[in-house]
Amino acid sequence: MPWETLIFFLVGALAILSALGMVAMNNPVHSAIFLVICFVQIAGIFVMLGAEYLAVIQIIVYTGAVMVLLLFVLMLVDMDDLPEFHTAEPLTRVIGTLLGVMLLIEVAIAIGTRTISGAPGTDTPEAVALVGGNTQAIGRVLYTKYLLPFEIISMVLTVGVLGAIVLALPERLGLEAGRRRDTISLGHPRGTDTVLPIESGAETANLSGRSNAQPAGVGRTLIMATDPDDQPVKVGGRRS
Amino acid sequence: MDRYLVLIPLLPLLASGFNLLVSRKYFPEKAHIFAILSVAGSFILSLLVFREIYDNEGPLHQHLWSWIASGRFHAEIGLFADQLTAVMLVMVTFVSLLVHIYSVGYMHGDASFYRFFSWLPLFVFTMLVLVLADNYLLIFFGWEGVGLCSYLLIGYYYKRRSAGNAAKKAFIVNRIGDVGFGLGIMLIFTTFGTISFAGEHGVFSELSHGDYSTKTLTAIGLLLFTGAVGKSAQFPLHVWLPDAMEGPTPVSALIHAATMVTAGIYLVARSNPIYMQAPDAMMVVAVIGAFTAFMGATIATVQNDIKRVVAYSTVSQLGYMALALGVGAWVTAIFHLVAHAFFKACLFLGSGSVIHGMHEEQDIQKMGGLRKFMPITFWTFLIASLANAGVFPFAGFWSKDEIITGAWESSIFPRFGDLLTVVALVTAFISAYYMFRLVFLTFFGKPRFDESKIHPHESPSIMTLPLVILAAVTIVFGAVGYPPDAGRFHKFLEPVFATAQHHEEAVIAETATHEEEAGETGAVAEAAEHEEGHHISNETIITFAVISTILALGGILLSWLVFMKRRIDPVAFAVDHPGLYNFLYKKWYIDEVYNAEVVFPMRRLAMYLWQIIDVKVIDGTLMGVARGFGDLSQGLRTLQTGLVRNYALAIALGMVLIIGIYFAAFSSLFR
Amino acid sequence: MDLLNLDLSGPQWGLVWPQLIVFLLAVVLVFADAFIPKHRSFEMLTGISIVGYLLALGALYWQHDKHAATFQGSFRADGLTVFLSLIILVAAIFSVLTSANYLKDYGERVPIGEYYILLAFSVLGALLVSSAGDLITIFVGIELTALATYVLTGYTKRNAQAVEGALKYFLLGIFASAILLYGMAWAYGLSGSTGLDNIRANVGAAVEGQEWFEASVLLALLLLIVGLGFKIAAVPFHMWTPDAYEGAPTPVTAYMSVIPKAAGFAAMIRLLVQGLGPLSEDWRWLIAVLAVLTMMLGNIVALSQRNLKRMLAYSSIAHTGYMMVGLAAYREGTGFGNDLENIIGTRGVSALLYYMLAYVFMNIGAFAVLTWIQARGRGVTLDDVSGLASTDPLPAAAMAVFMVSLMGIPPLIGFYAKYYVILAAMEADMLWLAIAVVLASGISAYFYLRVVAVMYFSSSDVTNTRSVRTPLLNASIILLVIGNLVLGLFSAGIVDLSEDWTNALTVAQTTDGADAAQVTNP
Repeated sequence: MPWETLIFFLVGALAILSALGMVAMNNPVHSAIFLVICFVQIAGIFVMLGAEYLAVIQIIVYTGAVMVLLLFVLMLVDMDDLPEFHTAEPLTRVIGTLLGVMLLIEVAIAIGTRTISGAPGTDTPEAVALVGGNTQAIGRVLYTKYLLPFEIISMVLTVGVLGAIVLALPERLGLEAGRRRDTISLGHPRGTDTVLPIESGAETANLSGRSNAQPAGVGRTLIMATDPDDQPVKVGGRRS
Repeated sequence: MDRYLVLIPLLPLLASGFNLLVSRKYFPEKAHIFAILSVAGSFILSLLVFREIYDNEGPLHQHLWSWIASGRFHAEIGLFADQLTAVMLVMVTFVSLLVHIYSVGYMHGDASFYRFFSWLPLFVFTMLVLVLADNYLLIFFGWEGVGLCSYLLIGYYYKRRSAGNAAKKAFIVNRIGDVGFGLGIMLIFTTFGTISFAGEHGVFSELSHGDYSTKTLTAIGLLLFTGAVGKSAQFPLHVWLPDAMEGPTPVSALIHAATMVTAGIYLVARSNPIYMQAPDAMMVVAVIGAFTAFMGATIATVQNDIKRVVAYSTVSQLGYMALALGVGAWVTAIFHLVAHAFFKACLFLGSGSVIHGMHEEQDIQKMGGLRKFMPITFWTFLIASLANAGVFPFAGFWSKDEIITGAWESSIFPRFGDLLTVVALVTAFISAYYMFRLVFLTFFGKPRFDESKIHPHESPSIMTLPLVILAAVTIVFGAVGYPPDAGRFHKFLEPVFATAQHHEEAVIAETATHEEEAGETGAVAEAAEHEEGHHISNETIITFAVISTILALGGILLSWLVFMKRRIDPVAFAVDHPGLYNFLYKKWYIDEVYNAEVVFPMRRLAMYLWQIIDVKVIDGTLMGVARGFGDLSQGLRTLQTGLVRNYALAIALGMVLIIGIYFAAFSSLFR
Repeated sequence: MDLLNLDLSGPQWGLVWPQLIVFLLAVVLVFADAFIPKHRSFEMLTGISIVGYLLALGALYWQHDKHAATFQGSFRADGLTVFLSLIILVAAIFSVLTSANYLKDYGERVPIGEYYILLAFSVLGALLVSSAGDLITIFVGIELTALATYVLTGYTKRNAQAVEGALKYFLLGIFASAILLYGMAWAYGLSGSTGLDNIRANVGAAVEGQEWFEASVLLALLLLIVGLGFKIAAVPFHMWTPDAYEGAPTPVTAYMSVIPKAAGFAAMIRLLVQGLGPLSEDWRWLIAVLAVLTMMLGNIVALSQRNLKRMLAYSSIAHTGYMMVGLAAYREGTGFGNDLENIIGTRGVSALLYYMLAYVFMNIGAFAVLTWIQARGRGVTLDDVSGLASTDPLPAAAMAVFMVSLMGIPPLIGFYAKYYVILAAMEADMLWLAIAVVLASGISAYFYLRVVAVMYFSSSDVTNTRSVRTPLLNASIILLVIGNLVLGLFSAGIVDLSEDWTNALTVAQTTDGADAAQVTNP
């Protein structure tokens, strides 16, 4: 089946490339679009495996709903407030790449030398066809054998919604929420860019959360009150 | 009843905790109510236990829970009550109850009233645990517990420097004995594979089934006795007891006369099956006991502090008990223990009453003629003194007499028996002498204090009531021990020592054969007597009863001549014989010897260890190691950069490394 | 069962009462938060939470002799479930008691209802992990616990440190979850089943008689260990711990140092012992080495911390190490299958379970005292507690008890916990591991005792304290102190109970549906 093989390699390569692109982009919008491309490729692979239902769900839920919503949010937010993905130092990058490659090799070895394979089980293509197809088969398994995990996932979603509300809601309607300027930063010991004074003593609410807020950017010195291990230090994101 | 056994120690514990936590804050003046009620509850329960055991003769056993269960080592928390326990229970709770009541009067107005009534029930709790324990580890817990409470109560007036020192001394000296006890428990475990003495798989049943080497048993016996030497104030670890009189007098009465100090005697009596197979250990017990009895009595003759005289008398009486144990007169030892608890508690409480009435004066040279000021105290004190002196028909007479006959008849070491008897008789004479010296100097004669300043008065009735009760018990108690060696008391306790008696008879038979071979006629005749049965002939009993009564009366007479009639001037005698007087007055120089031979060299050694070994060698090394760890710590914390990507990198690195190593070393890849 | 013959029998609800009660508690809390007037909500919600957890704890009693599985093998009610649930529910009650006053003090600025709801869901997740019989249940259970914990970590969202900690925890948590999931995928691929018993049987059969296992088996095993190693904060996957612990509100730190860790260990026991037991000779060495690294690094770095929360974070890493020793002491004999006779080291897992229970009392206690101190306007560094004994003798005494217990001094519970772990290591012929535990405890004495020394022998220079009433927190501290003092004495009974975990290996895979109606496809 050369055609099928060819298409698989094409789709697979596209998926990997778009995943790399997603990580490599500095602009979050670009990253998001690469992710959409990646998801579409994965849906394609699902189709080739005969899992049409999963492919459709992949497109509708991830590509259609989640990613588009994400893009909407990005577009709606003021450009100044957009997080900017910091790039790592060269050394970290090299080590990271090296580790990635080594892991890849290790997994490849495991795949290459593998002799044990699980029993195919009863869910053969024939059995799936007999119950009316992929969708029906998934439904049958989901509501019997995997009923408990399925229910737990609904709780996970509830917690997700709840968490989002708790973290995003202004403290109380009476207080002006203010525009939050903290941005996510992987290149920063505090994980966020905004420099917030850290009160000594109890974690009484830190309401002056907006002091010194600047958009994250290159060439700006970040002054930390203390480093993570409590040594007073003045840094540009690194320990001294 | 066995299900409620746990309540007996639990009640005082609850009262103690309640007083410490609640009463302290809300009603510190009322703390005694809970303490007395709880101890009274324990007393009633103890009586019920006693009755049940008296009726059924079977021991009660309550398993509470398993404490540690790991491998071969099982530490169970269980309570066990047989005849011996029942006697101890009733005695401990009864005396405790009276002392609690007495203390209400004695401690009245003390600044930390609640503290006293928190520690005292706590002591009762630990003492009851000690008595009720079904294994040696739990005994050890109670043992340490009573030691701790004793420490707390000796140092009750902690603002007084001497009280603090005395408390420390008591604690440290006791620790020396405890080491021996601890080692003994370990040896018991390695020998028998269990630390429980009761029950089917207990030490004693193992002992009767298995064959154990006499050397091991002797070692166990000696180690256990080391603990007893510390706790029961036997020579050479008796030095803490007289100093312990720094505590409040009710404490002295309860802990340092009636209950705690008898724990060592109890321990040895409890372990009687072990001792019966270790005659050498028993001989050590007997000799140390006799020596302690003699030494304590001699020292008591010249002391001037009223409590110290009674304290040395206690040392001497504890020596008697150890002697009784050593010669195998188990029941007699317990009999004397109980009798002593009553009359000695009475003596201490009486001295407390005297001190109370004399406005904290303790020197008997500054008393005199108190008979008319405090009649109740006088009469009760007199009764207890007669008992201590061993005068017919008081409790002390019967028990002391039995010890003396026991020593004489002792079959385990026939040649020592005579010597021990002589020592015991001499001690009996001295006991009567010092007791009545105390009585005459305190209550008779002319007042030697400034009557314009001190107005002695009788104590309130809450203090005299326990005195009267104790005196009454002292008079009556002798009856349960009559006839000697076959009284109700003996019959009741017989089952506990049944195995021991049995064994003893075997030894007697063996000795008899040996004696016959040796051909010593006197001994043969005596041994033959034994063979007919264990009971001692009436003639012997009567002979010794007469001898000891004569000696006791002689001691009283001498005392009367010296201190009432002044036929012999004690001061002149002391001046004429300064060596003897100082020897006794300085308590045989034992403290001095300890100071010179133990404390001072230890201190020098400690200084050496501190300045050379500790500071230079160990500290140097340790500081080096610590600094090394400190540097390492500082170095390692720099790994914690605070950067998420580095954390992720660490995870990835760890994962890749682990997988790599496993693939290379443990997989089938390269094989 | 195949696709055509569906097993439509309902689950045996009788087996799942404790878990169900916690779920209902979460639902009730959601509604109660919506309908109870604001001024009453604090008392009501706290009360409901405590009652709910207590009910669940009571329901455990009925679960404890069931030894069965339901939800087609996804849920197991066996000895392991019961003991782990006991640990988790006790920890949950103490978490509520510890955080109640803190939340009230925070007043208007954080929503109270959501806190309890998230807590309930997180507890539920941990409970489900401990009762899981299936890879997927384990994974979603862990995610449920973790997700709620991420949110709780950043609960005081105006506090930069809290946000920082939550973010780091979240990002790395996802990373670790991905690794865990990948490992599960491999395990599924090797055995063709997600059920733990099937994995045990199939993997066991596949590697039977081999001295060296092939790479794919090891890869599955190692990925699982790495993924769970993060959850329990084992070195070198521990990096998130200090930052997240320090940033989170102190009661949340108390909570997250115990319950997610318990969930992680639960998953580890389920996966490694129950699922991959036949590979125990391979994984126990890795666990042992990681345990030594973990306890050493945790204790050594804790030496140089002056912030007590951070110090306790490293100390909790060290305690992870001690617990892993228990797991490392598990070994299975040469024979495979469900034969208990072949298992030498059952005591190791019992020791681990007992340690976890002890750890609940020691660690929540230490954090509860920190909360108490913070409620009075002090900080959490060593300087802030200096001279505490002279100003507040009782909290100082409680703290001293917890520190000494964490150090492992008799007669406190921490001593017994270490004792059983060391004993288990020695029985498994791992003397070096036992020695490592003792050495690590020796190092730890320094920083635990330093806290005690600073509290008792330094003078206090903190003046601006305020006086507040914290009845629930006080009650929790008192109960925890009592637990520390008393539970050691009853250790034999508790260890006996924890020995029951072994029936996890013998419970039938699935018991329901045996004679239920079989529905065929039309």
